[in-house]
Amino acid sequence: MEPMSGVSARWGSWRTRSPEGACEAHLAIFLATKTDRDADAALEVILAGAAGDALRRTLNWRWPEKADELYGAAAVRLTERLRAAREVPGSDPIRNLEGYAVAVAENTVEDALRARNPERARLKSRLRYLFETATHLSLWESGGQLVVGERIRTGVAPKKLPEGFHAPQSSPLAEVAAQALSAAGGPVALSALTDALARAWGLSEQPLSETDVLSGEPGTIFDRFQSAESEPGEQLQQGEDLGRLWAEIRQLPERQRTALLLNLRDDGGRGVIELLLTRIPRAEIEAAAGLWSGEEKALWDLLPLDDNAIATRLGVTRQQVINLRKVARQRLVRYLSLETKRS
Amino acid sequence: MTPHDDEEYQRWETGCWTHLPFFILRSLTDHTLGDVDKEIAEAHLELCETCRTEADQLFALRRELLEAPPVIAPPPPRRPRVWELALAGLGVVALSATLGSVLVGPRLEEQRLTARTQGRERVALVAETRRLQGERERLEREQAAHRAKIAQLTRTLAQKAPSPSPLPSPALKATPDPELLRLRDQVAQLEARLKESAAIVLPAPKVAVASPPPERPAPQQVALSLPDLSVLGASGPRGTGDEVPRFALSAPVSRMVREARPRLTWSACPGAVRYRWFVARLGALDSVSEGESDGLAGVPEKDLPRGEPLAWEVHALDAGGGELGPPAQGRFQLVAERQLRRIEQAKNPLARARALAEAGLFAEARASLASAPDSAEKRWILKALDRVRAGP
Repeated sequence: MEPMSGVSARWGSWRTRSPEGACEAHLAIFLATKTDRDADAALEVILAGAAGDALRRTLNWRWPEKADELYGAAAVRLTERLRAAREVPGSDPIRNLEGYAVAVAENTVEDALRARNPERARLKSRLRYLFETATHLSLWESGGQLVVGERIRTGVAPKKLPEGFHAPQSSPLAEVAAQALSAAGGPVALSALTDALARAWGLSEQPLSETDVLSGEPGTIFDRFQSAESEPGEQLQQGEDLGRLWAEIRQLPERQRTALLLNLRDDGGRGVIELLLTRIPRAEIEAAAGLWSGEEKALWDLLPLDDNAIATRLGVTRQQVINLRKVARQRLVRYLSLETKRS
Repeated sequence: MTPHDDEEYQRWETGCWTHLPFFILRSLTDHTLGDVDKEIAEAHLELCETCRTEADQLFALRRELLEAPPVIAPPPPRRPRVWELALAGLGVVALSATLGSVLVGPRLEEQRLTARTQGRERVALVAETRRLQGERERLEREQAAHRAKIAQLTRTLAQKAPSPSPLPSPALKATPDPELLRLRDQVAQLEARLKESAAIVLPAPKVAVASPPPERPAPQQVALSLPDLSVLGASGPRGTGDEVPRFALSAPVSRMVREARPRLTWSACPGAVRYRWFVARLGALDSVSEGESDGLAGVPEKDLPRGEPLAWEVHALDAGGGELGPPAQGRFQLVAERQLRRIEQAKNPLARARALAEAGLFAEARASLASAPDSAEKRWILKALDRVRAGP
């Protein structure tokens, strides 16, 4: 069965506070926990409550056959994000946890779909782009699904594509779409059109693997440098590694570098800058983190900064700070994995 | 942005994604993604082959759509005859009118104004104009050929007919020769078709179909860049748990301000006898101005800094000087000096409206536009202001 579009699973924005607030009360308790044990217990309550329900409901709506399979991955993503938020007291990360859980579940489904059949996913994207942008074509929502057709027929109920519809893969996509609409005698569901073409063109599906649906979000990239009880030789090696990593950090674009450096922390909640100070001159770190004279003294004690403060400094939104840091981490993780392979 | 786009953008904002959502890829392809999101997306593309392939395919599709002629009618299966050409020509006129009405119709005007479709529609219109030019030239060639054929047939008839009089003549009509009758019919038919095809009026190459819509900005208008006030949109931390301020700030909140010492106003807080207010640079610890008031307003004693976001908050105090709940907080920004100069130097209402809009003084820009004569630029600025009002 074709997974449903997310249009009917909308919960409202997770950026605005939900009216009930029960879910957020649990989140507030979780964020206020002092020990990891308490945090784990609070997380269990969250996942057993409305947030967990939202995950299951969305997965069941989008892809019932795979809902159980994907629940674990979605829950891991959600808890990873919540744990990261707990590390920054007062960051007020999520105002509507239930809506946020829906968004996470949607992302998990989309990523799984891409992993199962990347070519089909690309085909669907191309079709969607074609119908959304070509002047004579149109795309709209009807009955919880996306429907495509000629612009003059926008809103008309979708028709079924005839069995065995085929169009040459080498033809321009606009021609293929025109042939499909002509064969169906009107608009068709985007997923039906994608399925028909994927079948006709032999775009095969692959079984899902766990790594396909997990986010791959790196944890603390500095973990490998943090052991205080390392052997002297190991410490020397770590020093060299840290130097190389620092060089890589300096290569990051300014916004990514600032978002990363001003917020990164180790397991003990300390800012990574503190760790870097053991190897890198302070002035160099200040310059790389975008700190300027006159403020570093006041700011130094506040590090790591929460996302709101970083967003203000950079003139971007808090969500953009999260994404900037995410791509910065991805780049560093890739660098580290390449380094590991080389060594 | 459609509701579906907004949903996808929210998913993107969660930070819990492995691959770029379609909305981001599409905006990247259409060059409509904001700077920061573009930086994030491009950084991800460097690392993710799956997304890179998808983005490449969308870029290729975009090129394909830009280069392809508009899909209007299926190509003719064979060379058309004169009357078929006439009908096709009429069809082209009707189709052009339909296309024109669809393209300039009010529903699509909104969409045309988006950067996503502007370029593509222009290309489509230019292609359509070229196609009409081709039709016109072919029609003229056909007419010339038929005139030559008529002349030739007339000469043949004149040689065969007993009467030298030109066609149509009573003598010719009276002739019993079947060959002459056939030729006569042929000539009459050709003349009728020639007359019919001459009546076809194809649109001129630069008719309304091909001309840019009035709302499309002229080259000098494209530079209109409205400030992003989102940094002023969110208030700061509002306490913890259920603690929320028991009153609210009135003005200025989440907007640009022209005055160097704006009047700060707020609503009454139950039980409060006095209010203490602070203005500070966003993110800074020290205030740039502060004061106390028994009423619901305060004015800074010195000029506030211009061109940077400012945060302000008001604390409600009871008779003992204790705070009644958390403070109410808001943000605003003073228009930068150079923008003020631009506003003052504007020579006409339109230029002034543009300067006001670019300074973020949207309400004043609208007021200035009201006194400006109607023009494409005026409509373009209005549309841009409408989009700001509608939000992202």
